[in-house]
Amino acid sequence: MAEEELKIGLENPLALVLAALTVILYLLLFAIYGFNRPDPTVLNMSMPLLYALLLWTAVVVVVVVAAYKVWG
Amino acid sequence: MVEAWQVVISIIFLYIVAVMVISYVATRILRRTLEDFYVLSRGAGLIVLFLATASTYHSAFAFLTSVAVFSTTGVTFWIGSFAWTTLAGITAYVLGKRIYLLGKSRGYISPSDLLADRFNSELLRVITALAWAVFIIGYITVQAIGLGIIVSIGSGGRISYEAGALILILVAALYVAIGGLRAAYWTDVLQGIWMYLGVWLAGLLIVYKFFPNIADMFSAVREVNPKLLTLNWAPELLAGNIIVFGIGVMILPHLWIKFYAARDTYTIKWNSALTALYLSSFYIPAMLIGLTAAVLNVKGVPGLLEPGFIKKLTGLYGSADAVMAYMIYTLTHPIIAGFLLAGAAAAAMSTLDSFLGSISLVLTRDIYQKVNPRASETSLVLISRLLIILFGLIGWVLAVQRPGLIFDIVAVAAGGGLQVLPALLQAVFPTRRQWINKYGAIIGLIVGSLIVLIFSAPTAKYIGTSAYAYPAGQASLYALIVNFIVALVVSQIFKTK
Repeated sequence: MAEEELKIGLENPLALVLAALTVILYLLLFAIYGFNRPDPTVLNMSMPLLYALLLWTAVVVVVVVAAYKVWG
Repeated sequence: MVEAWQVVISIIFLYIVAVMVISYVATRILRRTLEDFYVLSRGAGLIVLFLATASTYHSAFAFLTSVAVFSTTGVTFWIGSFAWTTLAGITAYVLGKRIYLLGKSRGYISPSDLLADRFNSELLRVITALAWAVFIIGYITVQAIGLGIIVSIGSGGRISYEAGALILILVAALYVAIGGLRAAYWTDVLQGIWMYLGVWLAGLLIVYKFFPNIADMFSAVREVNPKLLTLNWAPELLAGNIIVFGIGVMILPHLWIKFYAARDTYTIKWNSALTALYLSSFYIPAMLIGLTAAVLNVKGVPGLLEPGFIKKLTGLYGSADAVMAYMIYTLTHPIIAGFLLAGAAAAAMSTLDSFLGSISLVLTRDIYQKVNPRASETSLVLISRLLIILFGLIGWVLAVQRPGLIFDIVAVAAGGGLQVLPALLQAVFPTRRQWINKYGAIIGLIVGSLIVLIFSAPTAKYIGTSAYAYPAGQASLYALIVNFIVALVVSQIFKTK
């Protein structure tokens, strides 16, 4: 087997964008500490929970797009 | 008149019969080679691999302890778990694809095959196998705890926790011993579907039994304890848990060998994406049940649940892990309770079978076969089967000691598994310069594993280092950092050719 297949393939610009986006999304999780209060928002959820649900949606979209367009 | 517990136990029994029938069919086509016994002759397609990966990842941890942790720490568990479950999917692609490619081209069967070959070190093989054996026992133990709780509660207390755990452990051990991991892969398909339907059904039934809508549930939670709607882990614990459960679990042997079993890279890629979706969405209904439990724990339900029932369960079972099973048994119709508790048993057994199979593989392939290189394939399979039964019994013996919350024990096991990461990264990502060599990999792994054991609260209490202990996720993160540093430094000091 060619060792080439093991290398990180970032020649595709979309791969770079998605990789960077994934890292940013996970780092954004820690922003919760800036508004970590139980006050009600949509459906009476707290802002930390609502924010985490939105981040989850974004991460899932990134993973599915990566599987379609980048992952070989 | 049939009593509720008889209905529940009968359905759990039917589930066990279904699992055994599937295992028997798998056994009929088993070829007596290690490759077929453990990695399905590298022919697992997408549906089998995906459901096997997802149901193996989610165990008693997902079905039982998640609800327990949701009920005591609130949405904190969702904030962490969505991150680590999606990271697990990404790990399954980034590392899993490379493990698959190497496994296919070099014929690896055990995880240590890859490390030993890439580092050209049989000592690394043995050290890794031993480290995994130590940490995997914790993982086997928690499945036994979960199974004991399910049968004890499902029988209305008529079957003891100890007997329940022993019966289901023996069922899992027998079907893996007879049918190998082929049986585990096949039963995982059934178990993966059953547990996913079960957790969603349980979540919706329980929440809508007490609240007209989700918004009212969140209001009730805010009324009883607003802190449950905030993030209650320190940043370092949150980061540690994400790394431990997102990467550490995925590179434990039970999931690692699933990458070897994949048919092709298409299977690996979609397995990763679907796994991320399955694992993360599983925790939404678990959160609904856990938060409802927190409300009911304060308010009670006349005639069904008394206020403070979580504390009572903790006294009975040594942790809050029984909350989910108790609520299902108490609050739903017996037929539904039977279906749901069988789903919980499926979650535990689908992980238990893979762990029993993988630990026997590691010890057979990486230690016994090295000691006895002329052993025939048939005798290796026999040794594997004996080890499966033995480790099942060891897990049971530890489970009856009621060692604590499943979440904490799994964090130690996964944190230990995570310590292979520095060596694995060097092994699967080719670099011009070898940053970590066999000496660095071995010393780093040993140091990292010891730090996990000494400074994780659940194990520190047995070692006498509780005064210096951290939550296991946090201790494992620190251990990984030290492990990387040690591996890099030792590799620079002791050069290899």
